[in-house]
Amino acid sequence: MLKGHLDMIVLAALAGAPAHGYAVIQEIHRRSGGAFDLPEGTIYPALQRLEKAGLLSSRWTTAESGRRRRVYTLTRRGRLALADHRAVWQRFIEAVGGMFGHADHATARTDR
Amino acid sequence: MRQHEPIADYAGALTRQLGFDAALARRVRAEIEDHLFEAADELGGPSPDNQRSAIARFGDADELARHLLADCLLARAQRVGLLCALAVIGLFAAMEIRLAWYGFMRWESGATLQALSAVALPIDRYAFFVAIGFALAGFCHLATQRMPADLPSRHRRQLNCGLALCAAAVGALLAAVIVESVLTGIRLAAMPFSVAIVIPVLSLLAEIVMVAAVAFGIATTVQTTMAASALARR
Repeated sequence: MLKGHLDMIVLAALAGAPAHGYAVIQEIHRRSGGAFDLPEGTIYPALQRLEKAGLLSSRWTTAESGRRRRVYTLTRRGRLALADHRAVWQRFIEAVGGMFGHADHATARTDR
Repeated sequence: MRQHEPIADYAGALTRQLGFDAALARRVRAEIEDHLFEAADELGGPSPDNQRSAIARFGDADELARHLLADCLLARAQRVGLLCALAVIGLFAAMEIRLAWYGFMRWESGATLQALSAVALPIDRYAFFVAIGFALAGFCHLATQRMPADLPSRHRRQLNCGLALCAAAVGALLAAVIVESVLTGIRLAAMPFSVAIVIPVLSLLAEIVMVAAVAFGIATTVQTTMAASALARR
């Protein structure tokens, strides 16, 4: 279900505020209502890929536990890319909605 | 004692698999340890059972290494392709600068140098043309590649093909640099020592460094493809 959409989902999870990997995965889980229950390690290659593409920036911080923690922030390019993804996704939803709506309408006519 | 540290074992295994890139391995290890300990803390504390549960949720170390390796391998190979193309341009510039300097300084060629140049310069020229061809082909081939995260052998073969083209370009460039070195050496040996020889010497050194840089890039990328092959076989 997530194949091909992970980058967009990670960008969306970071849209609210900078976060480290664990917080990103928690945010994805929370905002998807638990539907996106992917192996947690999956997001790290995506974070690295997005950073290399200039859509995220990152820096090391120290957590309360004293452990080193890498925090990711959406860059300006990342916000633009997310806006593009969102627009494409919106068109896709409307198109699919139209198809299903049309199919439902046709089914209802056949039933009559 | 080791059996009580599942997170350290897991992170250690992953770090070993990413050994082809020490900086990446260090970074990934620190991030993943932080992630796993936080997950274990949320489960009630870093007991071995909670650590194992956190690892189970995190996923297979081999799978994660494959994803990271796929991105790294492609980026490295494409960098080698670009470096190879830039080396050809750099070598051309260095040769032109040297020739322009000879003209500017009005340095004449002696009889020995002229006789040797009659044989060596065509070799130099053709080697350079061959290098341009291979470097362009290698650069274009690598620039258009993709590497899926499951590291399929077909894609790895394509990368190897691009690297082989770059290696052929390096071989031809090396032939050109050797010829240039011999001719420059003979020319400079016949001259009294002066500051003016710094330009040809530096330009020649720049050529050698450029060829060595591409050769080093190819060697490290081949190491990475070997790591990828080993991971893909698991």
